[in-house]
Amino acid sequence: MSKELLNIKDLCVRIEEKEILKGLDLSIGEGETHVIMGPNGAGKSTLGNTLMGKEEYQVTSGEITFMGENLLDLATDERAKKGLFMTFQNPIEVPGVRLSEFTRSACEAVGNKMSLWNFKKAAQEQMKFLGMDPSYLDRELNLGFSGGEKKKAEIFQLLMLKPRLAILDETDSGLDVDAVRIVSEGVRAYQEQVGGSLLIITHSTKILESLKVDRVHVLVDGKVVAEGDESLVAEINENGFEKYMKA
Amino acid sequence: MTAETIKINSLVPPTWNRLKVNDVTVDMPGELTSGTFSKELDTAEADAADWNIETGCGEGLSVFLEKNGTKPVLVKNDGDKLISIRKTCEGNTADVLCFEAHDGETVNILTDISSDDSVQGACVLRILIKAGRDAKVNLAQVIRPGKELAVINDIGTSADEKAQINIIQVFTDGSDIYSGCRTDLKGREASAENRVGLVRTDGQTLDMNYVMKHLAPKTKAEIAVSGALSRNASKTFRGTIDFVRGCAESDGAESENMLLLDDTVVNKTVPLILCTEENVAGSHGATIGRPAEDMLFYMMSRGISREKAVRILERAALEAAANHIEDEEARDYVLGIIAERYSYD
Repeated sequence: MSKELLNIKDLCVRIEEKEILKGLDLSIGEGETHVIMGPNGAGKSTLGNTLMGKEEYQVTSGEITFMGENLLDLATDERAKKGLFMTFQNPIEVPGVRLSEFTRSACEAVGNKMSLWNFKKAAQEQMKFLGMDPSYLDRELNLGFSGGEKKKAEIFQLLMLKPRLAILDETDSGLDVDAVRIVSEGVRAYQEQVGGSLLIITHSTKILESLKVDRVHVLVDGKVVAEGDESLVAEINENGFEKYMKA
Repeated sequence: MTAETIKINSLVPPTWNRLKVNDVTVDMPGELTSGTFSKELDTAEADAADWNIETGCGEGLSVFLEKNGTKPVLVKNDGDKLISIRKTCEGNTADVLCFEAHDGETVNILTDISSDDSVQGACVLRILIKAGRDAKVNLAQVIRPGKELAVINDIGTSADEKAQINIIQVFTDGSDIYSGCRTDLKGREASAENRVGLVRTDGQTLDMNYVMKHLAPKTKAEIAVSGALSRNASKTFRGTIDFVRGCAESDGAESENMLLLDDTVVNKTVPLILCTEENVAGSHGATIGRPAEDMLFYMMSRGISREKAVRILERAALEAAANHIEDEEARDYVLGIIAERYSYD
């Protein structure tokens, strides 16, 4: 196994009074791609938001280390600076802030500084790669973007920021076949160009078809109930989660 | 003249007292002298009787200015060249400036009020505007007071047939600001637009009373307020669209888009549509009091610190208004001030 990047031990998380994660264990090595699958309400998005440090997700017990450091001591922006990144299931609209200036600020914040010229060049290349009109760079962040363009804008930021670990939270949800293919190509480019690790949260399998997957974890009712290699994806695709929910 | 407390920005008609939005009281210091401007203005005496235009701050301020002996001054136009008025307040000042766009003329005005943090007292600026038939007045204002100076910015305008009056205001963080603006759309097909971008933080207050009075048929008006509040700041916005009998086929809209950057802020909004004419369209709404926590989390998830994210959102709120300034020189000037004050590089 490659060098450990993320380690989660016995993680319990609640939102207000409701316990969502109930003793979750997970370990991801450098350059590895892990998939979290599970039915609705299993706690998949809670895991992503907890890793990024969203305030309302209260960690009641357990630990998370990232590159050997306690992640729970760090604010959201500090986690991002360490190399954590999450694509949002519903990317937030930020009126008045252009995609280009936001991404440039973010690149600078995570230590990926570039001259304006180099930034523009890199941004336009990634836009082209993702099949996005470069005019989106001058548009207000996610404002008036279609669902597919919002997801592509998330992958654009992933490719520009080059994080160590990217959490993809239902990135393929609500996308048509072509958009899934483009997003999937973007994720593969991240694997190949950056060599970063991936934690792909999904309940569908379309986005995984062209990706090399190292490990699959099935999350049900806040716990990992099954693990396996890539073949587990095909099995779930065929039989669903029913047998895991009964276990 | 002794110090006194005045009542301004009165809501007509008043609502429940317990909401504390019917008006605002302001402690005024003793005598206020005429202010100095960065560039000498080409002015003439204005006959007060000719400039009896109602304003947003209203009667309370008018009585005070009269007692104070503040005389209206007519600022002359130089074609459509930008009239740039920059005032660095150094103490208690009061000025009433009058502008007139004659039939078919375009007048572009920029006012910039600022002060050092150490300057105390009150700065009053009242602007009165008359726009003749087919005339157009574009007023851009930036108000960026220091920490101790209270600013009362009061506007009254009158628009004749097919006249247009566009007022874009940018209120940066700083001390308390009281802002009034009233437009009387007197002529058929007259139109007016008020856009405000505001930032308030650290316990600062902004109290606004904006009135669009539709007095003739086919008049059109819009009030749009956008801004960001944080750290115990408060803002009261009274927005009145008044359709007076005879203003058939008129259209009035008001909207507000406020970002509440934490849960210590107070954001009061009083949208009011008065109507004594049936055939009109009036609307108010939009995203009042949008919680910004999700936005901040999103930005922080990209490595941007909370402070910087707040700065970015504040700047965006101000730029949203400033981008509507029609005159390029005025727009560049205001955007430059915003960029300098809300730099996050």
